[in-house]
Amino acid sequence: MSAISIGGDLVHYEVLGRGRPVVLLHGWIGSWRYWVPTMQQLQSNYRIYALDLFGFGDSGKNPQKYSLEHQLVLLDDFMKQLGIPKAAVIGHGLGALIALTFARRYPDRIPRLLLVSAPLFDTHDLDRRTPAGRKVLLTSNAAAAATSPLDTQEFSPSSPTAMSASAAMRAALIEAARARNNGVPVPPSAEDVTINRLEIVETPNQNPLVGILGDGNVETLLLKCFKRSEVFYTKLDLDTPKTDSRALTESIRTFDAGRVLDTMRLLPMPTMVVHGMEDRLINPPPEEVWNYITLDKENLLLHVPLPGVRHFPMLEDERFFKVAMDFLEASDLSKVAVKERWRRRTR
Amino acid sequence: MAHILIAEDERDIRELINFTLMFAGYTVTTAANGAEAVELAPQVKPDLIMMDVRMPKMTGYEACRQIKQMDGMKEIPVIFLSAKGQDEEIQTGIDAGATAYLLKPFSPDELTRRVGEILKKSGTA
Repeated sequence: MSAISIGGDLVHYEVLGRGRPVVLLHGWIGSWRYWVPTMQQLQSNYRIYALDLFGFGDSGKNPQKYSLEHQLVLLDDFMKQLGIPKAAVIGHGLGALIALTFARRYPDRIPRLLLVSAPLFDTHDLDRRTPAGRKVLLTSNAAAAATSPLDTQEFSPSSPTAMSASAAMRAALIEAARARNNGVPVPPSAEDVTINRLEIVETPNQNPLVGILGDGNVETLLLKCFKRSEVFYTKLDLDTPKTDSRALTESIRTFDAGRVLDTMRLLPMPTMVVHGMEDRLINPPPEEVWNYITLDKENLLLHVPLPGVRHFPMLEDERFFKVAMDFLEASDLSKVAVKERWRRRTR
Repeated sequence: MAHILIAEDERDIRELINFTLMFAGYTVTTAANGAEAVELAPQVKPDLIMMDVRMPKMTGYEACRQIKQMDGMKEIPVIFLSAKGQDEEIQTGIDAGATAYLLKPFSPDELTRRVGEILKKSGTA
């Protein structure tokens, strides 16, 4: 068993293989152990690190370290202590949330990102929301063209996008409130403002994970993934006594669905998103969400929906290994016709 | 869950067994040869030992004999791993104190199944 100390708390990890580094981050259920088949499949080409997050497996159980921010520090320190300047990261569920947030913060350290069962939820305002990464020229002129932000206009970070007056006002009010919170003076007029949507605007009450994870009872969540009679239920249930339910509830306290979608949009590295289409724990994103995320970013973001698969593709379906390997090895993602390939194979 | 000590000099096989058993939920300690296994056994007090027959510094047979003579270790089940299955070699292993033989190559599922069966029989599953 391998372990390091981060901030005085133990972090357990295992490593296998030789080659370029890949870090695996587990989700809300289980521990590093369910990555073993993936590690064994990838080990001939990669050096695979799989760790236990704070509150899970054999890592430290300090409740003060269970927030998303602390798990980000864990990943940061882990890579630094093990001398990993850059690594592809594969994250599942909570691990996907950590991975995408970390990649946004430290894009130079994450050359490639594979997100499995990532919490990408519909905010029910996508038709009115301006995707992050676009500049928005707001106008109070009600006669201004109420062009949908999703129009196929040639995108340029400096080109403004017209919005309807009501949407403009809403966005301006949100941005002004955010500016006040950050101690930045509020612009003199909230009506004629250019907002640089390279920042991310939070919207209230967008935390579906609270309802999904509940009080963090792992057994309840596990039953949403597997029946008791299934072998993977037994395997994953071995980790239940080692899981602090507070690690689940604290990890999602600051979750904001809209912010996550916009974070996805601002990721500069190739990113693959894998979802089991029968996942009853974290529903796969509807088409509207995927359209929002990938607007103007089709060459960087690839979606691989796996029919007949639930929350643990890495355990349920051997196709996952091929998907992961193809993604990690592809030199030019713009040429990887992943969606088409997997659609053909799944018919 | 049970604690298993693995003694195997081939790194790839050692890692395969290690990770297969960890995936199954066992705690695993690894040794790269027979001498290391003899040194580790009284420290970790495993519930089962898996030992390659042919290893540098000390063979699996000799390591098994020495471990079985330690206090509290006589009844520990030992599985020998071997690439060959000749009758005389198997008999040598049994004389050294082996509980079972597993012939290489073996699948992860077979490994997990055999380990589970033996632990169940020994009452430490």
